Amino acid sequence: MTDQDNSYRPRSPDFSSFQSNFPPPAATSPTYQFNPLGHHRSSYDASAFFTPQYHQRPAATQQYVPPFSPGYPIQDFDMARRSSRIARASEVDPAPESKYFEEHSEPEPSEEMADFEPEPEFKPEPVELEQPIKEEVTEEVKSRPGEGIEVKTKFPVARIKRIMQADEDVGKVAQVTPIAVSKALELFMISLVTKAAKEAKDRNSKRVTASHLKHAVAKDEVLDFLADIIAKVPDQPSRKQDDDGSDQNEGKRKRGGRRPKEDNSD
Amino acid sequence: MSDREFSSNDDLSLPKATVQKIITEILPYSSGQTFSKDARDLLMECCVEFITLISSEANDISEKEAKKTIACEHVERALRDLGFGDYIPDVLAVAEEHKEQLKSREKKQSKMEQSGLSEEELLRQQQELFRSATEKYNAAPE
Repeated sequence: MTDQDNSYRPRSPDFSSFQSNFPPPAATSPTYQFNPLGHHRSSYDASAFFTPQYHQRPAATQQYVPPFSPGYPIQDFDMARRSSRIARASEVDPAPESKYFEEHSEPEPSEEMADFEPEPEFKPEPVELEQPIKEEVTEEVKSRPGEGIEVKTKFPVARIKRIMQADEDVGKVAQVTPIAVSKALELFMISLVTKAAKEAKDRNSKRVTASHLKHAVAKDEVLDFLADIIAKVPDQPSRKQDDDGSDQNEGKRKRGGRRPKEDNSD
Repeated sequence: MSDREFSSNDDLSLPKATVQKIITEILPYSSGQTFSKDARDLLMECCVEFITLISSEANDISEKEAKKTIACEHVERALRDLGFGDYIPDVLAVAEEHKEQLKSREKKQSKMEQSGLSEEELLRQQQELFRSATEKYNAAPE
């Protein structure tokens, strides 16, 4: 565990450098004034997520205190922003990444701009860094129930295609599609069967019955589309009580009571 | 063809034996739980409904894109829209596997074409191989 912790820490060096840059504003503000012209270029060349922006932002928050300083008439400022944006657009047009940059670095096309809108841009950064990690974790957790159980038996693809096309609206289907659907169906079955089995376990029954499956389906909002099918299944509270009792009795009853139905369906 | 017409009703459900097999793979005997037949029949109905749901949703999506064929990406989006987004990675993996299988099959078929040599050239090479083989064979006993 400790080894893992140690090995994990160095992976996020951005934050450490970011924090250390925070306190000394005097050191960061000069870099600002030095490259008023080269500024756009440099922000394109360097990745937007790293030090250049972090350098600017702390300085910007410091300068934020006088928000409408008399030195910048607002109209000029707007003009400057637009012209610089246009200039940038024409400059970087061929590159596909230019759009991305325009969205993200919009508030700071010139150094004056950074004085006024530093904070709204500040926040999305840490969120973007954290999100991928969170998503990975949840994906792992979610996919485990499906992956834990491996089903070797496959559905006949032709049959699945036929079921898909039983709907008159459904037209042509690509060759891969039924295969993808049958994989989805497999995962769907795993989730239904495990849920029904859990339901049975919670009721101390070794035999998973239709009403267990019904209860499992009723619990999940995603499975609402099965409501009509489930509605057909009687609740049978008396049988459930029997289930809780002895398995042998219940097994016999099933055999006696259920046979005729199944024979019909077969 | 006649088989299909005969069992057209049965066709619209999944094969029972396959479903039963998969159930026992999910709930092996060692789990101590058994799946009753009425539960299995209900499960099969649910499965068919699931296929219908996914395919009609994917169909709607493909129609919106003015495409005539339902592709894998439509299924992917249908799964996401319907709340089965966690199935997508596995589904895509299987689809990818299938695509690669198709590719390798195509390669096998066109191996002769891919050699880039004319038939005469290939024949000459074959004769060459035969000659060298017979020479080796003759040389060996001595």
